[in-house]
Amino acid sequence: MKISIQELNKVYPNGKHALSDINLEIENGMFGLLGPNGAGKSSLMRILVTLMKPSSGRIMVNDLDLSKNRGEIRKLLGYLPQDFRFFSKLKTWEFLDYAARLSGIKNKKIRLQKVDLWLEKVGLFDSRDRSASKLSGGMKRRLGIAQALIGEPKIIVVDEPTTGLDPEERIRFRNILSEISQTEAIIILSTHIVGDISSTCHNLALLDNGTLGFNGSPPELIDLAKEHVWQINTSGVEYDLLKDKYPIISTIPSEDGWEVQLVADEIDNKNAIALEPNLEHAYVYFMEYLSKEQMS
Amino acid sequence: MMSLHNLFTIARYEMRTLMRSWFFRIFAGLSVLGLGIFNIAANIPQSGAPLMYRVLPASLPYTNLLILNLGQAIVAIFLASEFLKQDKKNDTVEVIYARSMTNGEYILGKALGVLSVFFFLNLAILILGTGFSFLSGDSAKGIVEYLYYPLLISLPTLVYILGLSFFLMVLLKNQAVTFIVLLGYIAISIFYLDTKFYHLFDYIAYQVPMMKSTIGGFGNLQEVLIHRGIYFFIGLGLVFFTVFKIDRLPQSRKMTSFPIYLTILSLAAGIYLINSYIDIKRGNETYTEHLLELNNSYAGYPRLTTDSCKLELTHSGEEIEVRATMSLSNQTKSKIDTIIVSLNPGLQITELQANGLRTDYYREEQILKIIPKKVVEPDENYLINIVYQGHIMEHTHFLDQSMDDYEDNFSFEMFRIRKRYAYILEDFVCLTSGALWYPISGVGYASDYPALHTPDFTNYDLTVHSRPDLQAISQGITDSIGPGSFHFKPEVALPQISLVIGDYINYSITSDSITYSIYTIDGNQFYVEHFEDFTDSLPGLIREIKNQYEAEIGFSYPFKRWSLVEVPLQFSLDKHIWSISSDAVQPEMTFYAEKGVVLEETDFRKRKEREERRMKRNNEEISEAELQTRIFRRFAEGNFMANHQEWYMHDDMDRNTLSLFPNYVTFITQMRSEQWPILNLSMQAYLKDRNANAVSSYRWFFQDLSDGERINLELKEASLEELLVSGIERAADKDNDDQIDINDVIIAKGDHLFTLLRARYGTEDFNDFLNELVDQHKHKTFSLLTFDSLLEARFGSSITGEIADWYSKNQQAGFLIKEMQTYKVLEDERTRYQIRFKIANPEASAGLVTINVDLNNPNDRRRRRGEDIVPDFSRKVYIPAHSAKEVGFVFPNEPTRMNIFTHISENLPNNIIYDFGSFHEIKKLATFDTIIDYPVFDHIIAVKEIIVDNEDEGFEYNQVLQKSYLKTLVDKNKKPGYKYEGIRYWSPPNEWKSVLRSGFYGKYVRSAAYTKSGQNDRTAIWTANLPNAGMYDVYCHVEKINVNRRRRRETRKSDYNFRVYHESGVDDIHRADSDLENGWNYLGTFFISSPTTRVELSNKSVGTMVFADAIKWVEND
Repeated sequence: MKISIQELNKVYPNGKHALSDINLEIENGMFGLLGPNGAGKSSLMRILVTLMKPSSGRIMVNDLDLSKNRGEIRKLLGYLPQDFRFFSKLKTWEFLDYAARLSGIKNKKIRLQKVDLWLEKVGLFDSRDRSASKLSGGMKRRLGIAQALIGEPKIIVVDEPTTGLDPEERIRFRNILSEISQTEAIIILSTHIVGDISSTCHNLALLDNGTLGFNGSPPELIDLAKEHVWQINTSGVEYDLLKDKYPIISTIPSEDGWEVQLVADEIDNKNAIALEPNLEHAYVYFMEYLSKEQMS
Repeated sequence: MMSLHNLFTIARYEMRTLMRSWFFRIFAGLSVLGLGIFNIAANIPQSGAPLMYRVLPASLPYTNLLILNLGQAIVAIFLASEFLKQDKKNDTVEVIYARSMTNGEYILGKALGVLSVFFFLNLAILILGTGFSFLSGDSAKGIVEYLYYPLLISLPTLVYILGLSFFLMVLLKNQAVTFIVLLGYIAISIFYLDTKFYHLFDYIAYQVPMMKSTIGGFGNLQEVLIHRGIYFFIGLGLVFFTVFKIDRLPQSRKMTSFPIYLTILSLAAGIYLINSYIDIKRGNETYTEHLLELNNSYAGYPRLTTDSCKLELTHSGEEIEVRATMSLSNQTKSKIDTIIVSLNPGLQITELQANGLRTDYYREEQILKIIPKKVVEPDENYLINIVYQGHIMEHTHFLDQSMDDYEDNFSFEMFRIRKRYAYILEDFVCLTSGALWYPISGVGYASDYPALHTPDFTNYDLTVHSRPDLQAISQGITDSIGPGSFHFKPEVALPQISLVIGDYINYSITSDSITYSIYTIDGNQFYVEHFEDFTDSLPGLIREIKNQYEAEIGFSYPFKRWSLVEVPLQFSLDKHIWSISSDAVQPEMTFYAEKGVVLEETDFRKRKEREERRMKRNNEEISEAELQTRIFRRFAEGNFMANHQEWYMHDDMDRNTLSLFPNYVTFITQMRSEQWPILNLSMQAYLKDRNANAVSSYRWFFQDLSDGERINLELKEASLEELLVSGIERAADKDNDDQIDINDVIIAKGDHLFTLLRARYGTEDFNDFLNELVDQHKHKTFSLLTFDSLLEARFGSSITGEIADWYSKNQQAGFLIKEMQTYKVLEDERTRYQIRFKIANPEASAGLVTINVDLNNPNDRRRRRGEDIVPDFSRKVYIPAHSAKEVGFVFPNEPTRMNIFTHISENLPNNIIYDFGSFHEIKKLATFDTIIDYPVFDHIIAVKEIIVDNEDEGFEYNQVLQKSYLKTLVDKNKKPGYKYEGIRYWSPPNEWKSVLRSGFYGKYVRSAAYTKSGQNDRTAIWTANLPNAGMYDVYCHVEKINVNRRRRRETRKSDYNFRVYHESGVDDIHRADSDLENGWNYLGTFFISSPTTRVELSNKSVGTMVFADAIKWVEND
């Protein structure tokens, strides 16, 4: 499976450029789409799942042009949108059955087996007869992922999947996705939560203001932030100065004041200790410095 | 390609979702409950539901679905717009949209889902109806009916409303707005557009005649299919448009334009069907008008008389082939070089010979023009042989009906039934003379000669060959001459014959050498079980009923047989302009709509239960046979012998519809007059009811104008001659069943003419004269000249001059009544009750009043609705033009009420009522029990009185009228109604409207203006010209009308606020209900010097309405 995005642009009728000249290659495995709110992630996703037309550019899925072969490409898709609610009158299993039917599973016996299997997988088997609209937030997300995956799609698009989930649910969710990513499928995970990506994605793209800032593996992104992440123990007055000058990643109260972690191209503080960056540090560094440099 | 798997998946889950919605569940629950109650009511005779609901297999599926359709047409809007609304709101739909399916699969799946939900509801309702019909004893059970009514009623309506809802929702993108727009549309289509434009806008199919007969099937299935097809295809087109317009990217580029092609295709199919539908309907009208024009252009040709007509008819499939031999003679005084014969345009002539030779002929629709080799001399005979075959075009039947008011269907309760006039089906044939199935000399109805209908009394001979399993029925001696072959030979010359062929079974009985038969389509003999016990006494009973009827009308039955023949319920019961009764009445036979559904008293089970209850109440014990006798008597008298004024359960028909009377006179002899052809109907109308005394004295408080009053209003403005040309143009509001037609006017006016003659020449003498006239001209026609010369010989005066006035002038008698006195007198030591009054007719036409008096008779039994109301005392008083009478009656019991019916006259209402409180005063006077001449008077106003009535010029009112633009638009072509209407006590009008009531003041027209009470926003003003300055007593005329509604408190009775103008300004005068009496009420005495003065009445009142009647100024000495 390979998705090739070429010179993709999306301009809304109000003139807003949601996507500008995006070029991306996505291959099997989990692909993270990272960026702040409004960066164009959802626009890209909606174009990918054929809900929206791009203004220009092309998306090829293997050899198929997305704009000409929606029918074939839709057969490959599994999609979980950000704000996922239900037809209020359907039961949990019915909703899954509905999705399974639409994904083309015609044999009733096989379909019901799959429904049960997926209910088990996402831990909703006991709630199979509950009205889908009465499930908790986490359960709904799980049902959402189940409906997206039940037809064994080759391209799975998941938009902000962990928003509103408690940590336990989040871990469970990541595990499900990790499991799928072992198969011959592309999973595109759009998020603004770096943690969702760090543990699972082999590749990622960073979107900012509709443009592609970075495309590569997480270690490559982390490498960019090397020598640019610092920790400083500081007191009250200095903290205010630092805050104004550098993007702060975390602030932990200590005996003398605060233990502050920040990113900076260069730092003129003697107390600053260089830290080994992680993906979150790299993301902040990228957004605060590299992205702005690119823009300028 | 469309994936059915996807479509059904969408449909299945849409259906599941809708089935769980409370909105639908509540609707379904209420539908089942409501229709359950309806079905119980329809199936149990005790509920009073007409027989039609039970005895025809199509009734229940038809009515159930019709009721349901109204509800589902509204609920479907909500359900259809709901999914698009949800789709917009929820991201959930994106999960579905991202699936591989076409937009068509998605939208069609959704539509199919909604349809499926209603399919199950329809199914439930039909099962419910079937269940009840199987529980009920006399219900008809049908299965196929349950298949096609859902397809004809529900499917097109639902597809259309779904399509329309989708379309508007996609366009307006707002469910609430869509809902409001569609509800408005539904309201307009139901309340305003339903019957307009051939009920084309009736998408709910409420007005589409879809009732199916067990004999003849649908009245016109083609029209029904086209009408329903219109909505189906337009709906489908709008659904496809939604597929095109939906906010989801199509599967591929190819799919973008495909739905729009389907939209165009479906809408084009819908438009094509609209066009076809209008073409058919307009085509029917224009074709009928064309036939009428042809009749008009050939009506003036001198015609031969048909002396005999021999017909040999072969019925095969849906056609007939006939060999006709007509023996004609020239009874005119001129030579005839062109012979005009009428024959149905659907019948093609294959051979024609005249006097044994092939002769030239021309065909123009129904007109057959034969050019004889040599002219036909007066008194010469002429023989025509024609061979023709084909089908019947029913347009020829009612050329006398105005196309403006013509309706090709009729209603009975909820049933809409297509009118049919003739049938040639494989297993059923029904042909009357109107079908022109046999050649008739001359033309039929021609509007240039209104009411000219001159059938020849002809000796017919008919041979019929049909399918061996079918029975043919016609007039005369019947011989079966082989399987499916019959020969008919009427003993006497008849003005018309008819032919019915069907799978009949026959029950016959002979009484006094007359054979009475009933021919019923096999399987429809539901009545047999109800009359098993009295077969032995039936001949006696028939004799008794017959003798009673004949004593009443004064004629004897002239034929050897009389049959009741079952025909499909669509058979039209319209009346011709020249007929007393409908075309269902044929010589020697009467057609009855299948299973007697539009007859009175055919619900024998219900009647039996009622009789049994009554017997129980009266502690009466009678045998089963006697009970059946009673039921039979009611049936026979109610349908075939009733007085035309009696109340009838079917609004559209009157009691003459199936009257036996034409068999006694119309089919025996007819008066011919080219100048006044309606005289024949006039005479027959008189003969039919000449001995009937019953006149309904009841007038419901809210009742609109009576037919008699409408006739008076028509005749006030136009003469009979003018009306015959223009027709009844007023208030042709098809929603109103109580309209009169020209036939009603002719009958009333004709009856009145002969009633006046009777009053002038003496009842017995005049009736004897007419009986002799009929007797001397049996089986032939006679001319007006003959009638007039015989009349002149007998009574010494010709009446042609009088008839000319009666026909062409619109002057009527007008009656004034004064000095009404009621008092007691002592005669031979017994108290007598005297009524005395003077009545004048100052107008130039003679008139007649019928005075009925009800006495306070303790033995009076309670009157029942529908029964004859025979007053205790009735007297007809003839009052010549410019004359007056003093009338006195003396009674042994105290009179409680007197009605003076003024018949055809200037008087409105035409029933003046006097309710007598009590006869307090005792006078020592001789009784005055006579009618004597009195000097004529032309007013009832005393000297020094000036009265301004609401009918006078000095009366006016102020009001602001508001009518919505839409209503004005829709009503643009609506014909104006009558000036007067009934009092709408539940919802008085917001403007002044005129109403008639005996208690109001008026010279001839006793009327008042009334309006809803308010805050002085409407006023009535009486302006008078006073001859002298001086002191005047001012009076108002009031008829106290207070509705006795239980919760109306005393304080809500109407009070009146008058403003009297006088020398020193104005006085506001308030009169509470308790201050007022019926009649003149004193308001005060005022000095008035100005020559014009006025009194005003405000609509401010504590009551619900106020009446403005008359004001009187009386000059003081």
